[in-house]
Amino acid sequence: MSKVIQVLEQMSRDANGQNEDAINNLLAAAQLDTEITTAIINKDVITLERQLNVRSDIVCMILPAEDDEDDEDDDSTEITNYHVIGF
Amino acid sequence: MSGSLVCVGTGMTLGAHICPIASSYITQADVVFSLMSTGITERWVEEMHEDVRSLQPYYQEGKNRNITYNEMVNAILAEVRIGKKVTAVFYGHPGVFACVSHRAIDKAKKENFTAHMEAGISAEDCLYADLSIDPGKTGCINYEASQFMFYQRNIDPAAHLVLWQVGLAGDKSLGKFSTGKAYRQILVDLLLKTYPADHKVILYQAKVLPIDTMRAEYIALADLIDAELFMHTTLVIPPSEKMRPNQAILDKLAELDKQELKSSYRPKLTLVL
Repeated sequence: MSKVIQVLEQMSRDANGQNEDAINNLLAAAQLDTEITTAIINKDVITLERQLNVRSDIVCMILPAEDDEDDEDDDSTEITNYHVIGF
Repeated sequence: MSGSLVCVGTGMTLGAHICPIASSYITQADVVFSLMSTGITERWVEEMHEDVRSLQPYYQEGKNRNITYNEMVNAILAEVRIGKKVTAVFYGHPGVFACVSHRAIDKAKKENFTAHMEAGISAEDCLYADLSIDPGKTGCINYEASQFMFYQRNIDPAAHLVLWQVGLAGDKSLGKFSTGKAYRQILVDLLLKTYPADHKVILYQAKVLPIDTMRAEYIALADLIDAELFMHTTLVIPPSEKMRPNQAILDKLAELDKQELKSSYRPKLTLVL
């Protein structure tokens, strides 16, 4: 895993991860590029995305208002009971 | 070798919410598909496995999202069918306000493959924590914003109302990535039938990166039309009225209580044989 992702993970996972001193120590130890370090300190997501060269045109919608799923073999009304009674 | 599918969620915040079983399914898969909410979280998942395939390229503005979702499902199923152990990774909870995971699991099961879902921390979970809302206190109802507009729904002004994907409210084409003020005006007009124009509503966005700031912006309902909305903005409408007692039911329950009390005063009879 790349250092910058490790740093972001650590910031999220550690209860002190949002503490300014803890962030500075983490960044100093990681020795990331100056631009990336500055972007993290400034909470500048756009610059960080650019520096990491990640996809910027992300779509985050996974639910249609109306579900017209291809139902050629749709038998979704059939309910399967998975409960098993043990004796 | 028989193929299989598991759908897992990463939770909302990078690194903070992912559960051990989700991590394990990702690292142990033959192929991983991802559908994440930011480029950085997409990279994070890519770094967990050598073969992670983003489903993002299937999206296209102007293309009906139902087509997109079915294409995603087919991409996932194609790998299952050739015997691969497939993990599909979604941001948040893989099955909450997410149709691809449900469709893929249904299809895999119909084709007699092993398929299941592991729970994750959803945006709704974060919303309750970030906005200090307990859905058990007065109740809380969730709708996809456009669906809420298209169908006759009953609004309970004594409960919280949460509208998801409000940034594209009213998009009947399912091909837009945002809708404008005219669409929002119709939504606001609909809500004004129940709530006062100055009722405070909340624009909410969960934190995805540790350097993000959670958005909890309080605005008057009428100001929603001009508000800055994104794909991931959620509209939270707190109750505008107090819960009203259901007197008819309360009377029936009181009568039952009275009868139970009376029966408890009767002498206890013992059967002597």
